[in-house]
Amino acid sequence: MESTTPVLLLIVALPLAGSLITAANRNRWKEGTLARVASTAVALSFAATLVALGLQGGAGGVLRFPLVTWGPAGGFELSLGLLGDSISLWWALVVTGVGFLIHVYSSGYMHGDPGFGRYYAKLNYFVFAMSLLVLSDNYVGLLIGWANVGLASFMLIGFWNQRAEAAAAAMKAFVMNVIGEIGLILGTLLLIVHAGSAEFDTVFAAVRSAEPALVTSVGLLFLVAAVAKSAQLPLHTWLPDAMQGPTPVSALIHAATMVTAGVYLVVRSAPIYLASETAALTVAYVGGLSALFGAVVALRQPDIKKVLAFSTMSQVGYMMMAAGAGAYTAAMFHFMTHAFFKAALFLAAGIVIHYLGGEQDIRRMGSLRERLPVVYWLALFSVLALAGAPPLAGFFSKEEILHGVKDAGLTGLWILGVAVAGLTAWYMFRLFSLVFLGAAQPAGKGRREGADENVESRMEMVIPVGVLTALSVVGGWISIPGLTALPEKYLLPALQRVADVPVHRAVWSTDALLVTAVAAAGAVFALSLYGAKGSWRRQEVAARGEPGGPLYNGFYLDALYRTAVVRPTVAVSSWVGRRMDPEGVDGIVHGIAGAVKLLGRALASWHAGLVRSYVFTIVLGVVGVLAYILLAVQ
Amino acid sequence: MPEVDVSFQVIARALTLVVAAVLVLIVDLILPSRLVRRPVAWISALGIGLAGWYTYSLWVQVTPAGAGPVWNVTAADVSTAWTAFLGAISADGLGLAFGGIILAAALAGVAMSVRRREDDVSGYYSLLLLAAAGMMLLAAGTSLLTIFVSLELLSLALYVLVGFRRRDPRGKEGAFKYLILGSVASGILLYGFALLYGSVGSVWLSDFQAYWYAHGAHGMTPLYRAGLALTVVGFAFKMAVVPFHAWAPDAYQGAPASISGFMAVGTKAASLAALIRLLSVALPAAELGAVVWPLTVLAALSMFVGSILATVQSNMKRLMAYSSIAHAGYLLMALPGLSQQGIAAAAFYSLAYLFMTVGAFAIIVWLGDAPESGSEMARYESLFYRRPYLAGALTLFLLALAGTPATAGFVGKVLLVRNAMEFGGWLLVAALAVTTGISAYAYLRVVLVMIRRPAAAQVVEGAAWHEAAAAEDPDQGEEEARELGTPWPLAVVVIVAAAATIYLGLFPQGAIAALSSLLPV
Amino acid sequence: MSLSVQGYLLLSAVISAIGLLGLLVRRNPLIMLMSVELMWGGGALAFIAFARHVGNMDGHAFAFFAMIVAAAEVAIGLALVVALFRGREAVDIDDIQLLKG
Repeated sequence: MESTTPVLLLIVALPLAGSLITAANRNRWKEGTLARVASTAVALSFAATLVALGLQGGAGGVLRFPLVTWGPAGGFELSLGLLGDSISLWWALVVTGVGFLIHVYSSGYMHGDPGFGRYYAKLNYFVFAMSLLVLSDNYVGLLIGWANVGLASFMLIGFWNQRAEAAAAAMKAFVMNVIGEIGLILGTLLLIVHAGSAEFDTVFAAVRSAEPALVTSVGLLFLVAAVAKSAQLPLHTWLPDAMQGPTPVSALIHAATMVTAGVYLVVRSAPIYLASETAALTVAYVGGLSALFGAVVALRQPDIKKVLAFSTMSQVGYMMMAAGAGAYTAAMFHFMTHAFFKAALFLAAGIVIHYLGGEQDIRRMGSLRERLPVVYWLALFSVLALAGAPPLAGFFSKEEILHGVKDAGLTGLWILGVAVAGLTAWYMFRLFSLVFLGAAQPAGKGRREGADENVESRMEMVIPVGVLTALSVVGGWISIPGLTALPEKYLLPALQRVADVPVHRAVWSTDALLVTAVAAAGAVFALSLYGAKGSWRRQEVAARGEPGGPLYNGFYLDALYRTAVVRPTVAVSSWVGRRMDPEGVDGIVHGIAGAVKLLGRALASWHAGLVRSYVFTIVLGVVGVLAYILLAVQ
Repeated sequence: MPEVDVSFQVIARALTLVVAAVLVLIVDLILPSRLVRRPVAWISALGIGLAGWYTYSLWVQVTPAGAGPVWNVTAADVSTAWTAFLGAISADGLGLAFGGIILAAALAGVAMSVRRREDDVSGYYSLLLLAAAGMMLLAAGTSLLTIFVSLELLSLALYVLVGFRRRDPRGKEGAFKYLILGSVASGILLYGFALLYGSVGSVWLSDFQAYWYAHGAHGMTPLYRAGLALTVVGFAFKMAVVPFHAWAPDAYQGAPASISGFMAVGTKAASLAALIRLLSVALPAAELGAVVWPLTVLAALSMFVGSILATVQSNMKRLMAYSSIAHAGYLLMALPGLSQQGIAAAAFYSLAYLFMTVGAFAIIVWLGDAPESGSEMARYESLFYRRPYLAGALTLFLLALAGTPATAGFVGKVLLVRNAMEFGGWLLVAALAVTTGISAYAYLRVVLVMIRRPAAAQVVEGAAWHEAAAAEDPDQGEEEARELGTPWPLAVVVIVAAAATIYLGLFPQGAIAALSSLLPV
Repeated sequence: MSLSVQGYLLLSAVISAIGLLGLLVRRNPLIMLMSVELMWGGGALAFIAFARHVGNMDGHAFAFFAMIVAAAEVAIGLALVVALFRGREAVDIDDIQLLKG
């Protein structure tokens, strides 16, 4: 079942080559050439992934390609190689596939930007780093990819570096990423010390005989890494800020692929989490709480990209919850469907933003249904897919996750997950209504200079959205319980190769009706509140104008609903959003940075340049060392 | 009384450097002063190259051993060909490994200096060579006397070099502070050596083993302990370990950047080699903890102080100085257990540190290192748009210093952490983890300055460097740099350093194997 | 009767301590250099005392080397003092503070 093939190397190397070529010619070539070269590199990488899929020879097959061997020198033995099992290839397929579509889209979105070539070089570099991350056969290689996607993310968030906020956001993302990296490094080191190797198979074999404390420590350290990378509580604050980057970047890195690297880490480390219930449960609860938090905060965001960012946090929370509960295939399935519809939504948002000349405030939008009919329909299907409407992709994957969580006996998390499904539909339809329905708000101000009237005729932008939307519609059908169940058949053998994974079969259950009903309720509420004549719509849009007439409401339950559900939720939402987010969690991070700086200044005053105080310090040091060595108890 | 056996090969490593230093001075006497610059640089480089060749030939003879001389010199080895002057200097793997690093740093120092405009070129180069000779002897010395004298040889030469630039009050100030504090440290070291000598009755390291053999655990007398403590302090000072570090920022900032880079690497490598040798000879394994524990605390302190203070610097050389303080802490992680693996890790990290630091300093030189504002961070603003390759290279070196994977710095840290974990140095591991985060911020700050376009500069708050830039003419150094052009040796240093940083990050096994084979236990 | 090695040792420690104290309290760089010399002198004395005690020449040799190196050190120190304080009215170590932070 195992075979060696250089095709794996091609998947990784092609985008790297593309990156180097575009970087070298970024000032020489025309836009079209640059975009074509970069996109071709990723397309070939995608093709190589398909070839690898063919060579794999069935679900349990494993492809390998050795890269470097750090000999057994200094008691340190490591070999770095590439691994193509079902999990890796699944991820690689999405990374290169969605990556290719976004490369194509970018040629329209970034058209005319002075940094066009630079942009493509970085985007290609990201695809290289991400495929290295998912194709490595050991934790050190994974770590190298992990650090490089962080670097790519840093460079692309700060792409428009003449904006101070973009530079600050890039820095924030990077620092949080480093926190996670430290967790990953320490966890990897623990594994190397214990197993004498960082190679997955060896490590997992050794985990069976390891002390529980060690396994739990590794699991929790990896969780720190996953939390930082996947924008989960409490290290999520970089993600909304990261929206400073170009929109296709948000779609590729901060929605479809990089933020799911944490999920990949947990899934890949399944044997570790199966051996430590504490670590696994922590993952599940962190994921569940992040799902709730993201959904609640998304309810009141005025920025189109930030709604999507919090939604991403929430959806990745679902994946984490599933992975923590042991429903690994569900997590991976949702990763794929989420990549489709969230990328589609981001790219659609990019078209809207271009059309409006850079406007991102959804309260200033509205009525785009008439003006952008194609995007309207595409966005509608993507929103439905995300909200979990049957038979679109989100329905199946969310269903599988909730089923897995319930199966694992985590009823509390299951209830939470169902509630989040309702909230998801709510915030997505709020977004959808404010952007596409109703009248242009406020009249005439929805346009800005530099607006692109003909954006819908830019095929290189519309077609990728169309493809992704189509995938959001049909993508779920690969896992119709009892009928196709492809993720299960394809992914489970790879997991079972290294551990005794509990099997959560996707099945039809009456719960599906409940979840769908909750989501539908959320959607209906949102449509009624934010629809063309919704009262909440008026209030939000006329944030500075007079409040609309008292309780003009086409929906009868509105008043009751508002006092019983909306008000508390909104109150909590704004409280959480306003207080806890910037001042609490974010405050801690800022606090740490501030404390380090303050400490730095305090220490600097000690280094005031006075020789005699330096001598005094030396004397203190001598006394200390002397005292210890003289008095040390043997 | 064994007969005096001067094994030429053993001392040739340092001797060629001294000869080259003298030749440089003679050439200056013969040639008219405007013609001196080139020949003098070539003589220096050739001298270092020859020293390197002698190091290599010794290396080849020592390596295939297991049978070769053990760096832990015993009385039996004294009369063999592997030592010189009754065993005052020996050709062991430790000295060879660190000696190679020192020579590379010296060569880079010469290459980085070719643009200097000082009148006294020959004095500059000869002092650089003498400092390198001192470092070589320090790394190879197996007698307290050799260690002391070579330590002073390198220190005296560096005091002068730090203050070498005329009309630069900062250089003089840094040099004087360095001299006063260095003399205090040397005085403490001298007293510590006296106490050790009083206890053991000999200054030859080979006799220390006999002492322990004779006394066993009773050898740990208060006198001996005190001597050991003072000795350790002396070396800690040279390595710029907190709280004996205060000289480093001032000396690094005041010195020409070429010298800062050379001394950061060379002094550290030489002192570390001497400290390792002394500790492994002067203490039986059972007693090691008494000395290693306080050093562990100081190492952790160094990591914290170095990386925290690096975050608030506005001068590149000063930032590198604090970085070097933090790295002194990392290097001390080799001490717990004092195993072959740990020492190999320290040697590897020194090698990595050589490339990362020399590379960074070479770029500081390249961009113009004028006395007043040359290395201010404000001058690096938007460097990515003006000099993309230089900015990229500097980014690489800074990322490597921060320990980013796929660079030499990462592999070095992994090796050190592994060693510390094995021997229970959890404090060190925790300190390394936290300070890696802090220092990533410090280095990334520089990268951000280089990425930022000038227009955005005003917006970012707390930009202390901006005020500094407003006070002085920011283009003065740049102009100077342009005027002087870019000599090829500087480019070679940057390219080699960058290539090595990446190569060692991806394919470290060759270097690790070579270093390990040099260090049999 | 000659002093025991302890006596010499005590004396050398006192001399070194006086040197160290001088560095802490005196602000004149010249006197600081002298204080450094005192510290070194204390070390050299300890070496000679021990040389008598253990009965070999190592310590004597060491003391000689220490004195030679100390002379070189002071020569450099004095040169730097001249370079630093030329043109200043008072010679005060606390005045040189360009480098800090």
